[in-house]
Amino acid sequence: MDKIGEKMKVVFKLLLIMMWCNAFNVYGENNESMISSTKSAFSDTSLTKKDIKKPKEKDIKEESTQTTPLERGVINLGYPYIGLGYNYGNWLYGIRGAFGNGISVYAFRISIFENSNKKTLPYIGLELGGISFDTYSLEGNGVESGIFFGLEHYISKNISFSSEFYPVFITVKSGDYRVNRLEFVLNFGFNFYWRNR
Amino acid sequence: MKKYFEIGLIILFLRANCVAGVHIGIIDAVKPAVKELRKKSDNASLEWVDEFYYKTDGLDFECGNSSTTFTYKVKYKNWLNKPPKDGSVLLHIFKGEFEINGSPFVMDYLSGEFKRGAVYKKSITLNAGNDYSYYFEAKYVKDDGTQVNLTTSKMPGPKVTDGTGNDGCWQIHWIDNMSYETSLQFDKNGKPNIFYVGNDEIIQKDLEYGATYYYVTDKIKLATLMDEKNWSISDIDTNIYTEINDSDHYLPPPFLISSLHSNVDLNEDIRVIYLGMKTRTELKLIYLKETEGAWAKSELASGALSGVDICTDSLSYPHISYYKSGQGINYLKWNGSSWISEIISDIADGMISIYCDSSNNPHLAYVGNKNLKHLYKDQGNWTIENILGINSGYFVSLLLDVNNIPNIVYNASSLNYVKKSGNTWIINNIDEREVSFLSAKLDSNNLPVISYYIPEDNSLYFASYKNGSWVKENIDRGGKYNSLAVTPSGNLAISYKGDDNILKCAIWIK
Repeated sequence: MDKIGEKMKVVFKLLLIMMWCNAFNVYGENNESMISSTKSAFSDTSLTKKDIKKPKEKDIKEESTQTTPLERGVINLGYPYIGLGYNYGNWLYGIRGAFGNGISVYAFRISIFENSNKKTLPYIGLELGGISFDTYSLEGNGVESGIFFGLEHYISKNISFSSEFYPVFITVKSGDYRVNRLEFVLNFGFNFYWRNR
Repeated sequence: MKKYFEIGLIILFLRANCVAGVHIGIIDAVKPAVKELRKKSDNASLEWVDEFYYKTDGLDFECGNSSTTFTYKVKYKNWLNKPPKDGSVLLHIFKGEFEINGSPFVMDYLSGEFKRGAVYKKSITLNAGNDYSYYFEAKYVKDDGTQVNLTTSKMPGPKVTDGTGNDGCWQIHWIDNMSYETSLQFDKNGKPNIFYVGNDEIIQKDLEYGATYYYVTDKIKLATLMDEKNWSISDIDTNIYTEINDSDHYLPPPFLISSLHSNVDLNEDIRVIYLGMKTRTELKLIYLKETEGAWAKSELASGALSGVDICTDSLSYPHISYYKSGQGINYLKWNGSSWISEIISDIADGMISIYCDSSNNPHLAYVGNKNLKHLYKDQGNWTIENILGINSGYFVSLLLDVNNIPNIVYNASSLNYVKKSGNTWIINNIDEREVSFLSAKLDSNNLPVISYYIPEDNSLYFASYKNGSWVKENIDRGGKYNSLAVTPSGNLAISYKGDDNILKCAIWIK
């Protein structure tokens, strides 16, 4: 089982690397297309007055809705965690619980991301959590904290896949004993939003 | 710019993934810390048992004779709840440099889980000797098979007397939690009885105007030694509420039950008196007498009282002295049917000690107006003797020997003793250090024996007069509210408040 688990982890890691690389490529393409479209808009001097269309009332409405901050809830499901969040503008506040192997971690998270309609968004955030465990003939508790860097890739308007990487400082305590460690964590999971973006 | 940031992020990720090892999910990241914690916890220790007697050395008693059962206890602790190696918890006893016959002794598991500390015990009798020492040992096997040897430090003791009376030691008994005052008497069976103030409960009361009041449910209790070691504890007077704190309203400082004294008459009846709080500014003098197994309680006086003491005469009638502010020294005597009261106009600054002579006349000693005084009644008249001038003094103990000669022990920046010889008083300095809480008696040779507390080193001392000089002995830590009792056969015991607010009794073992 352990070997299978290890292989699974490797596969997951590869998938995530691919996703991160893909994200890089996507941005590259997006930027290029953005730059080329901007270039063409400014370089094309052959436009006449009649070519400049008056914006439709519908378009104005759509633009005005963009200015009000987005407000919606989100459920996060990942390996191995479940979370609830609240997205307001480009901020996301959430609580997250992760369980497994006799270890439970409950964390509060706050993150900020680019507020745009792009398919893949980078974000950065802070996590603070409490740990409790009853495993390896030991009972105890602890705390964890870390700053995470992540990417969120929208599959549809209200479902996204996210992965994040963060160094986390872990302190666990049982009886008179205490251990402090710095670890690196990779999270991945799906986010289900209440409302479309 | 963004592009470079993202490239950096990916490089960081890849590097972390390759070099440091990245965990998928936080649970995976916590695991190594828990594993390391387990490895750290894979250890065991030997500790003192957190019980009366064993808290500091794992041995009960530290003193005894060849018929005393000495009990050794040690606590084995392993946070992973793993037991020690089978039969590996051992007691090593040395006499001089060598282990005694049979040592090391395998200790028996008594109680508790290994995680919190399992107690192991061994009881043994020992031959006379004052050069014993001991230590505990246990073996623990780690997860990886490594064997760890655990030992405590080597402790001296116990002292085992030969029972001939040439030598002796103080056997310390741990009895109960206590707050103030102790008074010790031996009963007709030669067993020590200790009256003391114990508190069982602190009551918090929230007042309407937002302040918080704290009360202690003080009780007058009696502890009696039942056998070699066990004390029976009973309540004598309950529901005595004492204010202990009200920092918000600058009320008078905590006033507590004080001046607890007891006395045994020739019929072996024990009488107890104490001062308790009647109102916030008034005290009451309470008299307790045991009658057919029940304690009869009566209030003898009230007001601004201090310095109470009691003695009984040859008719077993009690005599009581106390000081009442604005009145003077009060003297009460039971005549068989009622209390007779007399007032002597003099000031007493601290304790008053009373003793009845063989003619049933009262003798009192006290410090008043910077003088140590002897007040006595003879043929119906009161006489005050100014013994000597002293700058300070609070604790006084008066003793009359078989010839009715007064002996007085008092503190006046040091511990002193005066004895009347003809018409003069002979002064002796016993201990030059500052002394408080003293108690004195005459031994079977009519020589004073004294227990006293030295604040400087927070210790209880015992002083006796041997071969023309004072011999001083440090008995234990603590020692406030000490009370000394002696039997005609020469048994000695001292009750006192120990270092950890525990009522203790030091019994002299011959």
